[in-house]
Amino acid sequence: MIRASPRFFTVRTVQASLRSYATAHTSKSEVDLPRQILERGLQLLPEHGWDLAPATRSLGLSDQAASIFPNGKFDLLQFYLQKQTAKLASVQLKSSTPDGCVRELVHARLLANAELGPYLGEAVSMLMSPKYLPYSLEQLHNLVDEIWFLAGDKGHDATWYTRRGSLAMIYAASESFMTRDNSPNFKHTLSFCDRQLNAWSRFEAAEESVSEWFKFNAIAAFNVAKSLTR
Amino acid sequence: MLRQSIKAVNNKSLKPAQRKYLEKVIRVDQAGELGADYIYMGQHFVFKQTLPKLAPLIRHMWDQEIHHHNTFDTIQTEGRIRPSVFTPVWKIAALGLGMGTALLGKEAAMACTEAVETVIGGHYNDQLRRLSKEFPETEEFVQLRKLISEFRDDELEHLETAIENDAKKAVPYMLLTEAIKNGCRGAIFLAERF
Repeated sequence: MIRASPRFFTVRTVQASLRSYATAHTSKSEVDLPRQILERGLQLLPEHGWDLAPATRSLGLSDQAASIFPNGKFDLLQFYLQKQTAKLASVQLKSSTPDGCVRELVHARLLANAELGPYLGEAVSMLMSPKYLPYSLEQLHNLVDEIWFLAGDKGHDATWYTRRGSLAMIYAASESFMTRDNSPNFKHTLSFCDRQLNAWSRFEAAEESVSEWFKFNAIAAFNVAKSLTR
Repeated sequence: MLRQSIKAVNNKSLKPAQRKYLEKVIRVDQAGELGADYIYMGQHFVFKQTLPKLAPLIRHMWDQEIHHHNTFDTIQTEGRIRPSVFTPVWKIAALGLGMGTALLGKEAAMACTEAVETVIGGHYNDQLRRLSKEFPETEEFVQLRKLISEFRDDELEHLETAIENDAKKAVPYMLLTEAIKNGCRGAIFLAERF
């Protein structure tokens, strides 16, 4: 009995200290550690590319720490894409039409890739690899959905799908074009992107006029039939 | 109420499964109100020619459905939820159903309303039950439930209007209403998922 009580006491204190330790410090920094590594990885991106080892090293961790990311480089790339998509909300839009807003937002997003320099090509090839394709398509969808939302799109039917689908294709094509573009300020990429966007809006306008024409003629035919039967 | 409902759908503290359920709710309700909107559009179009006396009544119900439809359209856009893939199909089917039953006559049109509103009212009730069971009791969810229950009450009012206007005298009543009810159930099944 005499022996048991101090032992009991120590166990309790250890538990109590563990608990306070866990809530006050570790749990928070432990939860944030992956994020810290990714943030540092983004800072080092222009020099070291998508590799995560330099980031863990500069945080004073061993290279092994990068293994908490099962997809390695691709996890950093995904984090980068999420951040870039979120940044679009702060772009100051000057256009009044949705099409103009879309153009501005796509340009802003493409020009943000400029800081990647030689690592853009690696990013594009990772995004296109079959292993990561489901994830990259999800990121691409989030990006174009954000762009159409910020541009004030109010599609409630098939246009919701066609607009997102075609913008995704245009964006992906422009980004691939960008990897081989050496023109100052990526002038060629932006004009390539504009050509695709113009072609798309011409197509959408044509499709709208055709359906308008059908609607008008259906009503006209009905009225002719009505006047003939009375 | 609309602002709060949008906040409820965009609530960041929801679990993924809860958010998924809300997406389903908004998608199917938007498709359903679109269908109702187009059914009354078709009926109104026909009755304006054949039974002008009935047109104002249809117009009144149609206006309520337009309001419901616009509300869910706004929630769908602001809540970042994809609309149903079959939206063009719902449009054509609903317009066809509205015009077809109106061409059969007043009783058939009212039987159509009765069948549709019975299924829709029951479906709204299922949603309300689950929304009150599995979601927090915060202001925004209370408001979302209030919005849906208000719409359900409108639909049930249409149901009563239809019965008062001889819906039960439609021939063949059973065949017509059961076929439409099953069509609605199938459409709900598809619109929730795709």
